[in-house]
Amino acid sequence: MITIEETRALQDAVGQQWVSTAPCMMDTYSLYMNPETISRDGSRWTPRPVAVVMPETTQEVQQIIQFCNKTDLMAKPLSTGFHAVCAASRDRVVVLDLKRMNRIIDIDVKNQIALIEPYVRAVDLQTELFKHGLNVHTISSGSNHSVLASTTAAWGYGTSGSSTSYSGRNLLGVEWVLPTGEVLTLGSGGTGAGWFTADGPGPSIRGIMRGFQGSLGGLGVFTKCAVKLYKWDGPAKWQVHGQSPVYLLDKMPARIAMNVLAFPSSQAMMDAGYKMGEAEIEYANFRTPMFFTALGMTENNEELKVALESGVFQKIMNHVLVNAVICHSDGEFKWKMKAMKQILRETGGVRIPMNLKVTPRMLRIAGPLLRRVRDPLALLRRFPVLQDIVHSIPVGKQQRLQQDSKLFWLLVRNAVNTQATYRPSQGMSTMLGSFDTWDLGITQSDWIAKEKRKYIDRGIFLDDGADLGCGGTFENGHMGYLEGIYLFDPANPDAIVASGEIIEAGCDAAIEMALGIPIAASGCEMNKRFGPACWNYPVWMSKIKRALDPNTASDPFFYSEPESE
Amino acid sequence: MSIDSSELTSRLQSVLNDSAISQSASDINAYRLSTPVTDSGIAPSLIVRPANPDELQKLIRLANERGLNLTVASSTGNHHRGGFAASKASVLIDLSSWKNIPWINRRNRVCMIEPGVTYAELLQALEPHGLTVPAPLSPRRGKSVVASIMDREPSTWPNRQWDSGDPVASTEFVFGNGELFRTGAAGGPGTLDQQRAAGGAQKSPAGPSQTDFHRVIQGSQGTMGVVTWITMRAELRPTVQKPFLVGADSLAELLPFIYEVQRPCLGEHSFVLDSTAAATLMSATRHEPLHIVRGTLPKYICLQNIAGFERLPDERIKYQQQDIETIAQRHHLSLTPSLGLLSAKDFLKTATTPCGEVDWRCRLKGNCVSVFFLTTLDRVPSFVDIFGKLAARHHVDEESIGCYIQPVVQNHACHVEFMCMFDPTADHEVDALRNLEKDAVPELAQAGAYFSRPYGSAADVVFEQNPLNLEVLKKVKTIFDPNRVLNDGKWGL
Amino acid sequence: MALSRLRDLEGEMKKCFRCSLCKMVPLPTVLNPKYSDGCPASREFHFHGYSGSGKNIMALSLLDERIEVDNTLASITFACTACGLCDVSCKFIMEAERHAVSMALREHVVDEGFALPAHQQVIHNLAQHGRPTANPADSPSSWANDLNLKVMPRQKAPVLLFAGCMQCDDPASSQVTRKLARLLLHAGVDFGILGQAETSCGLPAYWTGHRDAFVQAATDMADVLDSLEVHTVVTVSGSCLGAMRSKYPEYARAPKARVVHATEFLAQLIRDRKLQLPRPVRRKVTFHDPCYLGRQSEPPLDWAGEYKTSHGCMTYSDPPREINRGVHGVFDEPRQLLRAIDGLDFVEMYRIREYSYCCGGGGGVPLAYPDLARSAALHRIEEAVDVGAECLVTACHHCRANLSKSQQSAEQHLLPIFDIIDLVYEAAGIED
Repeated sequence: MITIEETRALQDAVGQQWVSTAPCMMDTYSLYMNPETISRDGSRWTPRPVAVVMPETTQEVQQIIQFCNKTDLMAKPLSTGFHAVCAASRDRVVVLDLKRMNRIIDIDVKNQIALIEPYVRAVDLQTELFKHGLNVHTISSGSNHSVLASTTAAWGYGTSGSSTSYSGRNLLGVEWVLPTGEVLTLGSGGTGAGWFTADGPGPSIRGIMRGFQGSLGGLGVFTKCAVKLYKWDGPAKWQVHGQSPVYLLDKMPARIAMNVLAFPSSQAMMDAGYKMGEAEIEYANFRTPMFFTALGMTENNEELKVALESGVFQKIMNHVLVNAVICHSDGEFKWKMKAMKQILRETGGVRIPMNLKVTPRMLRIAGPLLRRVRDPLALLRRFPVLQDIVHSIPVGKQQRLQQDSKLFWLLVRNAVNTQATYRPSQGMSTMLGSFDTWDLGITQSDWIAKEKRKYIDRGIFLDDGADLGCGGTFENGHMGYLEGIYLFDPANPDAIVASGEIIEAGCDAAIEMALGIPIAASGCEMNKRFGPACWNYPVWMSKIKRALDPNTASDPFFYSEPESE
Repeated sequence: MSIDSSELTSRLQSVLNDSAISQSASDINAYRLSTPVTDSGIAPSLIVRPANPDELQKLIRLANERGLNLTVASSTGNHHRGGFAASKASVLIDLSSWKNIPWINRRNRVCMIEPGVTYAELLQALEPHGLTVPAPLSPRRGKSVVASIMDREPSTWPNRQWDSGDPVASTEFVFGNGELFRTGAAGGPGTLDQQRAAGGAQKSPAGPSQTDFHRVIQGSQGTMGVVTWITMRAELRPTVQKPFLVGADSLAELLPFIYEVQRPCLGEHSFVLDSTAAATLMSATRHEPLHIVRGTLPKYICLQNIAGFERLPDERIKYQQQDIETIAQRHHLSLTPSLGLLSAKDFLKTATTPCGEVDWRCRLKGNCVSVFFLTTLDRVPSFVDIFGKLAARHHVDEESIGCYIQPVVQNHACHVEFMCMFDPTADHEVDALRNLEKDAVPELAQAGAYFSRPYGSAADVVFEQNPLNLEVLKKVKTIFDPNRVLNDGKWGL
Repeated sequence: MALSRLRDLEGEMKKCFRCSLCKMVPLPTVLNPKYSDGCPASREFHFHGYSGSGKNIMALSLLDERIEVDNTLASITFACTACGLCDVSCKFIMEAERHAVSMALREHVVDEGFALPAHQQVIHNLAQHGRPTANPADSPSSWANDLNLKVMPRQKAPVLLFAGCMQCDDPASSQVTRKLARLLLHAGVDFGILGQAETSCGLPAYWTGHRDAFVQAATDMADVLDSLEVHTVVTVSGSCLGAMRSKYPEYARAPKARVVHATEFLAQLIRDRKLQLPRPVRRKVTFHDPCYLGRQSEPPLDWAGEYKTSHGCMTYSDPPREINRGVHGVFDEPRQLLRAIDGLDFVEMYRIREYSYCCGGGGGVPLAYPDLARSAALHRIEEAVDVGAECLVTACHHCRANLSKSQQSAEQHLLPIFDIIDLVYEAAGIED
């Protein structure tokens, strides 16, 4: 509950119309993706906040936080707010919905820096940046995400990580309303020198501001951030045609290649990932499991069912990488394509032709035929020149454009990723996915594939072949990441419970097998679990929480409770 | 630290071998700053050399119990900047003998090193694996790799630095309260071997979880924790290199070219020196007097290396050269293999190879004090202008000032360094430079220079610019070093 | 009753995971960050509850008995133009019925006695005299004065020109209707009108959650149209087309006659060479796709089959079912007409066709939330200005009226607003 006086104080901060305490509105801030992160009883509802406020300026945020410090209210900020980490964790939490803070404050084209507010969505920023030959890392959950949130406060893996790094590493400055209400600007921005580095002077407070995961609203509110931008060698703009759910580029821009690469084994796929990273070939890459490959090449679930039943994809698409090669010059493009083909020769990879429409009829015929063939791609593997010949056949241009467009939306725009994860059963979740090497990634996805099997066998999770390890390499193969996705019917309470179980099992495995701290493992409960295995980091976090948030004005659930007196 | 020397020694002996404790004048003198221009602080009372992390932990715990003030150093030779400089009596922890390189992993391009490993040692160890690391501009022979990169010192290979923390990957260190901690992927779960068995390689710097404490240690000049080892990002070693020089008489001519080459990450090593700095750098390899070499050079020289690696190296060089030449032509510049008496190959080799025992900046006049900061490339000319005027005001000979411009973090920022070379025996030069340094730092800061690595006067100025940042740092210091045993009082922490 | 309809849609509600894509145009179509928002209500009020997802979650909360209907819920529920963009955007990623939930929620709110007063007045007026306004300024057929048109059912014709209700109050609408009639006459079409019997298509009842009133209106209208024995009904306004082609079959029944919009009919006349457009019209124009001419005019797609699961819980339809994604609305014909006009420079806006941005004129919003209606319109006009258009063309009385009035009330006269029939009429060179 919130008192009238408290409501009035919030209204004084942001204006009456930007405060809501209505139960119906509060419930729209009590339902998020992966509610099991908070709700252990299988409920879809997360705790209801006592109020939602919509500040427009840093000063307004500051006033709200200062007010929370005077009361037992806690603040919980969100930007686009789709995951349960945005939820209030208990009663007496005021949600700060930052949707009104949506300005791209500055784009420093020369120095490749954007200064933005919390509700600047990646797709919007990226579209603006393309005009200037620049790009921003966009996370693979979809480009409707807040760039600031993934850079400062949450996670941030995207398909273009090979060329645009990881969101947390792209931070060049941040304006941070501390849990006490003071406004701290980190790095060069804090001295008025410009927003080009978030570190220093001397020791970098950035190291307590976020880690592999962000503080997820548990340590104040980030109201501005400067983001590192990258080159964009593609077109400044393009035309779109087609209609929902299939939108097509009007044409494939020059010096861009979208490739579907099938490998004979997991090891070959991993080797290729490393080699392509070293050669700095890729703008983006994504390990696409068999199920998602089939999904991407079919138009609907009916076709997908036929595709899976045919066995065609299981036969040839178990170890697939998709990638984008995007270059600034013809010379670069030629070299990169040549290097990529050389790597394919070394690893037995095949560049799958995409000018052939995969129809249910074709699959029904091909399935039984391929069952008798040990390696349907053997010829293409053995004589790579055949791949070039097949690719150069001038048929199926429209089909090729369609597949190219899909990959463009996936790898460049992160615009269709949720189509893949939600089309089959409308529910998904993910587990593991710590950030280190490409090899570690495959260990994680192998583990989760095994763990999923029992839920698949019970019909709780969708039978996607179990291996739904998705991810890619980062910073030209220097790092890698794979997470294990599982699909389910969100209306099935058993699936919600199972999702919670698999998270638990994943945590156990991460500790026993040294798989790294999973992506979902943040906040008080997870910290308790991982702390003893990880140098007791939560002890330090609780000290930080106490020092920076003496009145617990920020909801601690997804960060840390303060160290007790 | 109000205990007498013998008592101190006996206490230290309780955690360290006798041989690990030194009070010899020569040892202590080795840790006196070799610059008379800036405040050198108080020399350490004792030098201690713990043998391993366990001893280091015991030492730091002892310091907590007994109120010792600890500083730390890993490099050997002349110390010009002196992150360890203390404002009160201290015990200096010398980790320069920690020289293990326990692990080099080619597949994940990573190596693990202890604090005493120098660039020469590391580069040599990496070579058989086909690996190398970005290094500062011709580091002195005794320069510790860990000391350099934990200080965020710039390297000459800007497009390999994605984040200002690079190339640091995972770290292990002892906090000021004596607790051991690991960051990044090494932070767990599991032992390093277990992590490696699972496919990990302690490559990620992020974590554990919602912390990135290595960033707090980095740049802290020993005030937050003491590093015991790091894993470090390595790069493929070029198999073929084709360096070029681009000369210009003004930065205005050169900078658009650099922007255009850096954005698509073309080429490899890249930096700009003015003719004084370039001639000074090359003075050990040229028999001509420095002023003769300088006289053959344009005002600014950009080194732009192009390299091929294991895959299609010559073809890679060919296309990159073509692309860079096109850019150069667009800006009415040309790539040349030599400029005056400077050959690009020699220049690259010198720049990427450790120099002698003494920093190359000292070659011209015996000593050098550098004023360095971060900015963005487009603002460099204004700082050159400001510094030039300041130097003139202080009657500092223009020809004794070199300028080093180093794009960092894939050219999102730029390290600017004015190296003021001086004769340490000439009082008037020392006085002039002392005054110049004191005046220049605030004026440059006022104009937007960011002293992210605060040494000398910069430390006073930069923390004043953002008082809340300092307040929060004090809170952080209280957490990690609650008894202030790590260089107490530095920066007012 | 409405609660049971909500209950029927519970499965749809549970598909929402709050991604907020319902607030935007489908991601691949984002071509300008200034124009990536898709939901006028979310853009204006910002709180999540105003989005498609928000209404979905509130509906689910009602079913879970966490909340009850109250004035706040009603206020949020009706602060929505019922444009259906959320439905299109959500279906870009999954098969989920967002618009249906939103409309069922409205109906439930009304059933619970929380209809907005402004909307209740509309329903009262519809019941009184078949038109939404209290005191029509004009008689239903005054626009046709001196045209000597056939008046049905007294006179017979194969084609009915359905004028709708807005021409009674809105002189501009009346003029557009008159111009269409003259175009049809010019092309030699044998058609009639309803004259004094002209009433509303009932869409205001649909928009305001008055299901029974809409069912009644739709049934009555279908009966009337059937009784005329026409083979084609031509609607002037896009909104009427949406009602008759899409909502009648869903709520009541489709009339037997083919229902087309004027743009479809005129485009066919041009294709059949029965109508020529000889006079150049030298303007740079853009076209605003009205929601109920476009995505909301799709007839419900017939499908007799069942949903099955395979691979554990992968849902699929057997036989394959095509769902309403809003893509089969009237999009091409208005563009064909504009391109057929000599001298006309036609440019597209960023948000077009099924992901067009609503002008704010629908859903009963102009009556109850004039500020929302105005801000949506001005934003749309701003987009037209940004693509370089000198005038904004649309094909719906509600859109044209709201776009024009919003400029007037905001005292911002950025662009002239035209109905497409205005331009076709001008191009046809018919002398007044």
